[in-house]
Amino acid sequence: MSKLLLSVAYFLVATPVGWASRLIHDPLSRRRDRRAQTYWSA
Amino acid sequence: MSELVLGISAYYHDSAAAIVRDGVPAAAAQEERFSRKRHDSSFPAQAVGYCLDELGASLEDVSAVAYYEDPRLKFRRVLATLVGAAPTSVSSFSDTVPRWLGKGGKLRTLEVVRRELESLDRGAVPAIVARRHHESHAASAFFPSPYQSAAVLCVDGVGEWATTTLWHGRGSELTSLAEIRFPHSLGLLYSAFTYFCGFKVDSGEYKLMGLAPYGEPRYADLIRERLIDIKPDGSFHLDMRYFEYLRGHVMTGRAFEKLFDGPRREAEGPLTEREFDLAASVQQVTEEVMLGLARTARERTGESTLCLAGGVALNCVANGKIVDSGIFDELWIQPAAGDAGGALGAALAVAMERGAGRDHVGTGQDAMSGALLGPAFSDAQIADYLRSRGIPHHRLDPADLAGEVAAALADGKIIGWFQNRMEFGPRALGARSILGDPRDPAMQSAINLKTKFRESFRPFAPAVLAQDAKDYFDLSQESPYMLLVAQVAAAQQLPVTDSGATGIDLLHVQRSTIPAVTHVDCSARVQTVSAVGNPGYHELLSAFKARTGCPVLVNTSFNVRGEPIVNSPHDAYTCFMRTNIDMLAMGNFLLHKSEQPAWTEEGDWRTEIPLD
Ligand SMILES: [Fe+2]
Repeated sequence: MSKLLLSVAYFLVATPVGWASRLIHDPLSRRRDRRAQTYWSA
Repeated sequence: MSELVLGISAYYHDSAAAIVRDGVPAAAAQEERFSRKRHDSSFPAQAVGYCLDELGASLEDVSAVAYYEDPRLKFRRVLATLVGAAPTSVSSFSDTVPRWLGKGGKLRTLEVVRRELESLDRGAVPAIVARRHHESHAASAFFPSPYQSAAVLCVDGVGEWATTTLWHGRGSELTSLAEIRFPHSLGLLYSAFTYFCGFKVDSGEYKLMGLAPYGEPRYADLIRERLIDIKPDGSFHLDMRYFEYLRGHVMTGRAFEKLFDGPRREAEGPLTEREFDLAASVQQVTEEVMLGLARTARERTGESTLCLAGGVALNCVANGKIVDSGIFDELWIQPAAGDAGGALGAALAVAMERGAGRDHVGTGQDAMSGALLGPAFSDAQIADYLRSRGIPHHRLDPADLAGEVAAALADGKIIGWFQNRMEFGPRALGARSILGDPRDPAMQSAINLKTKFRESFRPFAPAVLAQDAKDYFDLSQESPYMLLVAQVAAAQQLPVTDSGATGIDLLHVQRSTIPAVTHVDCSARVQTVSAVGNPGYHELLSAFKARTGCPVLVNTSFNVRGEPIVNSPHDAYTCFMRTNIDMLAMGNFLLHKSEQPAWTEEGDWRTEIPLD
C-alpha cells in the first residue's frame, strides 16, 4: 500500500467518518459527563 | 495423560511462552532471556522450545495454544483511535494501517503464530485460540492464587479496549464485573509521566516510582484538576487534550509542557527537583486511584482477598498502600504481572475452560512454584560447561555451599547466585541474583557502580527470611515476589542527623541497620523467603543469619544495566567476569574471581548493550 493512497483514504474516508462518529456517540468517550456518578461500565 | 496448554504473548513488549499442565503452571519464560535482547517482542520461538523441552513434549501433546489477546478487537480499537483523532493523525495512520493489514499483518497474528509454531518442526500444531488481554491478566492473577474465591483487579496501559477490569473469581470461574476503557488508562497516565521525565515507556515506570520518595507531591492537585477526574469508586476519566497518544507516537506534548513547567527531561539528562516532584505527584494520584479501585472491588464482590495483575500491579508502592489500608485481609499479586504473564494467563484460562482443577487451593500455597518456572541446569551440565572452557572452580558438598557463601557475604563480598530454575517475570528472586551484605553502607554504590555500571537513585531490594520479616519490616503479610513495599521497622531505623545532603545524595545517608536496602523514605521493596519456594536460598539466608544475626540480604538481578537477566551458565560466567562480582555460586560449584584467567573479549561490550 502506498503512503499516498493511504493519505487519500485518510482524508476522504477516515476524517469524515471520525467527525460524524464524534457527533453521534463519541467512541473514545472523550467528553466528560459531569453528572456521571461513575466511569465504570459493565 | 496430563493435559497441556501452551500460552503465548508476543509482538508488543517482552514476549513469553508458558505451558500449563492440568491447570498448573509447569514452565514459563520470556524470550529475552534466550535471545539476550532486553524486552524482546519477537515471536518467542526459543521460549516455546524451552517449555516443550521442560515437559518432554511435542506440539502434538499440547491440547490447545492460547494467544494472550484478541488481534481483531485490538485492531478495531487502533482504527477507532486513529479515526477518532482525524484529521490530526495522518502520519500515524499511514504508518499503522500497513502494519495491521496485508499478508502477515498484525490482524492475522493467529495465522502468523501458527506458521511460526509450524516452523519449529516440533509436531502438528493444535488449535490456536485468542483470549482477551484482560482476561489473560485476570486468569494469571486468580487461578494460581491460593484463594478459593477472591476479588480480581487488572490495571495496565491498554490491551484491546479495557484498561482496568474488575472480576470475581470463584473456584475455576472468573466473572467479569466492570471495566474502564481506552483511552482512559491509569497505566498510560503513569507512562506519560515516565516519558515526560525522560525515562523509557514500558520499562522506566519502575524508575519513576523509585524517584518519588525524593519529591514533594506539589503537582498532585494539578493532576487531579486537569488530567484525571477520579470518582469516589476509583473509576476515572482522563482529559485527552493533555495527552498525545491518541494521535501518534509520543505520550505528551505542548499542553503537558505548559502545565508542568517546560519541556520534558531529555533521556539521561540531569534529574531536577521538578522530576522528583512530578514522580511524587503521579505516584500519589496512582495510589489514590488504586485504593478507590480496591474499595470498589471489596464492595462489589464481598471478598476479603484481592488478586492483582496488569503492569500497574508492578507498582509495589501502591500495592503496599492497599495492604496497609486494610481494605482486604490479604493480597496476592501475579509475579509476572506485566504482559509476559499474559502467556501464562491465556493458557490458564483455556485450561480451566477445558475442565482443569485448582488442587493447590486449601494447601495455603499458590501454584506458581515461587515463580521459578524457567530453565534449570544440573551439576552435570554446569560441570561440562566449566570443564569445556577450562574454568577454575571448586566443587562443594551441597551441605557446605550455604555456609561458604554466607561467610563470603559477611566478609563484604559480592556474590553471583545461580541456582535452581530461572524466575518468570521481571524480578530476580534468588535464582539468578546478585547478593550482598545489606548492613554495609557502601554496598549500594559498590554493586551499582562496579557491577551494574550505573548510578542509581534506588536502593536494592531486601530478601528476608519469612519468619523474621516482622523484626525488620512493617509488613502484615508475605511478599514472596518482591511486589510489596513496606517501611523498615522502627527498631531497625537509626536517628538521622541533617547531613546537608540533597537530591539523590540523600540515598547515601544511613537511616537504618540495613542501609543498602533502605530508601530515602525508609521504605523497602521486600521479598520474604520461605523454605517452600526456594529451599537453597532459604538455607543461604539462614546461614547468613547464623553467622551475623541479620536475616536479610541485598538481592538484585543477575545482569548488567540494559541486559536481560542471565539464563545459562555461560551468561552467568560472562556477567561474573565483566563485573566486580567476587564469587560465583553455580549449582554446587564455587568460582573465585581471584582464580580466574584474565577476561578478554572482542569489542567493547558496554557499547553493545543499549541503555535501559
Ligand atoms: Fe497488559
